[in-house]
Amino acid sequence: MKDRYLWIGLFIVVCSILGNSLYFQSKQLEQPIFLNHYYETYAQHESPLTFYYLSNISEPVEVSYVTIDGVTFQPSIHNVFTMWTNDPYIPNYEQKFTHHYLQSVTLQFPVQDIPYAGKDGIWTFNEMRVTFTNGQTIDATIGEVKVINTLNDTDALVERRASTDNYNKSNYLSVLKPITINSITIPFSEEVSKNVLTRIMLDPKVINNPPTSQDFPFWYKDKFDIEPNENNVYVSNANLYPIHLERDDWIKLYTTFNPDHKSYFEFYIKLHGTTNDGETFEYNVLIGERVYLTQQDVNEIIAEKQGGHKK
Amino acid sequence: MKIDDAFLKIFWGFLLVWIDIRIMIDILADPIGFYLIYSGIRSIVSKIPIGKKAEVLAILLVIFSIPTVLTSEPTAPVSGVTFSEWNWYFTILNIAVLILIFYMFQIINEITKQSGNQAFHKRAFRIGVIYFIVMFITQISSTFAINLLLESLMPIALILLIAGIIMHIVFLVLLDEVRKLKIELD
Repeated sequence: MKDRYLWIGLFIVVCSILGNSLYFQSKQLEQPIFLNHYYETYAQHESPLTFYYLSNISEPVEVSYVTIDGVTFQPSIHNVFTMWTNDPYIPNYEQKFTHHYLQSVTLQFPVQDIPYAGKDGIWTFNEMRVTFTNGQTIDATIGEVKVINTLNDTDALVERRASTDNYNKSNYLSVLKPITINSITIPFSEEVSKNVLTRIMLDPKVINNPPTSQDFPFWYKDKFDIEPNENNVYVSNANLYPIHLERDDWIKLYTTFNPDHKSYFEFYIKLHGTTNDGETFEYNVLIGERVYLTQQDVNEIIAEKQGGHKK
Repeated sequence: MKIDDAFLKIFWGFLLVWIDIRIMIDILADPIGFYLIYSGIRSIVSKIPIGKKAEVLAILLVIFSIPTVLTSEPTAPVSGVTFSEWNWYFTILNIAVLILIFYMFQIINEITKQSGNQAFHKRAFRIGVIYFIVMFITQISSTFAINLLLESLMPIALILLIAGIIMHIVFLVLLDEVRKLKIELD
């Protein structure tokens, strides 16, 4: 038994320890990274919004409070710490990756605290200053959030059913009064519309000139089968409007998300139209979509967000 | 000095090092185990000069292992990986123990050679080789643990753990067998 073999073996072990330590260090985030969220909410609903961030698995952190446009908000769910327990801190996390946790913070925006800017009564923000329980404070870009002051709804339409199947959402609406729909819009047009396709299904008698060709985004062609004009479902675009609907007619919305998207969505699809009395209205259909991240998604998000910081 | 007294001490020494019974502190303290090993080796080192390295390392380990009386090796924490000074301490301690066992095999090798029992000499040598292959694989794998998901590592970790325990037992049995040789060193 020659000493040489021992030292060769130990040299390899030491190299492996150092190599793995360096690789581990290189994967550590300097600060937690917030994902992109495209959220739209009505102030009077006071519905909480959940924001997601990546933290180091060796150093998970909870959000202590956030400051947006000078207003401080506390997370609506606090981790309960008891004084007498010796239990180690167990982080609350949504998903676990090799070097990172996906953690979340849920915030509520009470009506009286919301600083509205501009005449449209919409408070929009893209950043928040987040302070964590370890004292670290960061300015995080979080996508885009719109808090809308007043909800203009109509009694001309009513949502009967909503269902979700993976990346597909469908919403079934009934018409209560004769109306004309002039357009269907989704908010955050640039970022969101790249990853969302809205289609509508109508009774054949409603459509006089069904469009012969339809314009699908590339990711949709990539991921889903396209059957031309299947079951009277049409991609929502300007050629389709106006649509006249009588009482007891129906309209079905199909919303499909790009399966490769890496953001969180919660927004309203808006149906803009007029009633036969000449009144304009908009009807809101709530759409929510969460992402289930893979390790590759996480790597890409970190590369994108950290690349962005250096610029 | 008879070899059987020396190997009885060494046997109990390794047993104390590997068995942790904690009642507030490690009552089967590692430093005592290393001292027994040191004391056993010292009594035969004059006849077996190759044991000098093991003797020096064992007495160093008596001092170096004192913190283990109060601290246990950190198991994988719930919050994932911690990269504390204690991890480094136990990494160094484990490697030092591995070196000590390598030197022990050198002593055993020397004794079995002198005993003239060729079959036993060969077997002891083979056990040493297998022991170090298993420990080498274990050490290498454990260095990758921080960069892999804990869950994905479980099956291989379990296999290596069992293989490690078996090899420890085989090593202890070998120490006992050397003791039973009851040979007098010239």
